[in-house]
Amino acid sequence: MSIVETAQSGLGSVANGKTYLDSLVNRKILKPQGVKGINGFVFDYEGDTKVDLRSSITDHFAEDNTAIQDHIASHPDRLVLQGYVGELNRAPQEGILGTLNSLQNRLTTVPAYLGSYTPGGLAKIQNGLLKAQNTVQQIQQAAARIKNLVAMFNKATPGDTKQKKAFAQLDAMRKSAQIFSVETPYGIWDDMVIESLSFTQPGDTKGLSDIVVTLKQMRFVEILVSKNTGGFGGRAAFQAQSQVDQGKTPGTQAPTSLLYSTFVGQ
Amino acid sequence: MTKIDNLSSSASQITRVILTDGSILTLEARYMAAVQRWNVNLSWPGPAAAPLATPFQINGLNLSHAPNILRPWRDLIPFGLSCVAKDGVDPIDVNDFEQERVQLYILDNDEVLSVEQNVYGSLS
Repeated sequence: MSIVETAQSGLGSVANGKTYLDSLVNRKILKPQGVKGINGFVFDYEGDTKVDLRSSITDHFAEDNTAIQDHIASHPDRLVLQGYVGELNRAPQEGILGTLNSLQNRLTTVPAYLGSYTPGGLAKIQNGLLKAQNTVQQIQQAAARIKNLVAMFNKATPGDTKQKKAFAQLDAMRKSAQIFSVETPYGIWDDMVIESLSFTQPGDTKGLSDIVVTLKQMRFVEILVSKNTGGFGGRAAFQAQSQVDQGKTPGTQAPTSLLYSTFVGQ
Repeated sequence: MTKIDNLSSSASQITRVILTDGSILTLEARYMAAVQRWNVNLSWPGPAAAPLATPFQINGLNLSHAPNILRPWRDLIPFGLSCVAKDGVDPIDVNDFEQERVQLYILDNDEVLSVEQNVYGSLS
C-alpha cells in the first residue's frame, strides 16, 4: 500500500466518522432520560426554537375598583422546536473532524512532492499514518456501538427515507409517552413529552420535510404519608388543655329585650 | 331566654344545659388560640318526650356576636343560641366568658320567632 493510499484510507475513515458524529453536535438533540448524549434525533437544519413560559395571575377587584394581584401559578414549560429533515444534506464541516477532513484534501496533493523523500523518511511517515488509521478505526468502532444503541429506540427500518425514519422515531416517542430531556440553546429541560407533532412536506419537493415538535413539561405528584401520633406535639402539646366538665345548669333567666336593645338599638 | 352561666376561661370545656322541656343540650366549647376564636360543638338528643333517632349535632361552629347563631336550623330545632358581646366584638379572648364580656343565651321556640320578627325583621 502506498503512502498516499494509506493516508486516503485513514483519513477517509475520519471523514465517515465525522459525518455521523458531526450530525450529533452543535444541534438540538432530543434524547431519552437516562441515555445521555445518545438517541439523538437531530434536525438536518435547525429552524426556530421557542420557549414558552407562562403563569396565571389572579385579578381580584376590590371595593375601590382597583385590581389586586396576590396569587400566581406557573404553568408547565412548553418548548416548540422547528427544523427540517432532508434526503440530501450537506452540513458545513465543524470541529476537529472538519479540520481533519480539510487536512485530507491537502494531503491528496502530496504525490507530486514525494520524489524528494528518502525511503527511511517515507517509512516513518507511513508508520505514523498507520497509527492514525488505527485510532480512526477505534473511533469507528465506538461510533458503530453508538449507532446500535440508537437503533434500539429508532422504529424505522433500513431502506426508509430519512423523512420516514424521522417520523417513525418521533411518532414512536409520542405514542409511547416517552419522557426525555431536551437540549436547547437556552438550557436543558427534563421530564418533557411530545405534546404535538407536525410534519409538512412541501408540494414542490419530496426530499424535504418541515417538522414542528411541541414539548410540554410533566409534573408528578408525590405521596407524603405522615404518621398520626394520636396526640399533641411541640407547641401544640404546650398549649393543649384537657376538657373541663362544667356540669349541668338550668341557666339564668334574662329578658329578651336585651337582644332587641343590643342588635337593633333603642 | 336563658343565660348559660357556668362557662369559664378554660380553653376546652363541656357543659350541659337543661332546656325548658327537660331535654339536655350538650355544649362543648374550645378556644382556638392560633386564630383567637371560640368554637362549639352542640348535641341535642331531641325533645325529652320523643327523642330523635339521630341526635341533632353541629360541630365546629364559630361563635360570633349574633342574635341567633343557630338561625339556619331554626325550622329543625325548637331553640336558638344567642351570642351577645357587650362591645359588639366577637368572642376572641379566652377570658371573654369568665369576665362576662360575652354571654351565651338559649332561646326557646317563641323567642326564636320573636327574634325573627323583631330583630332580623327590623334589620332587613
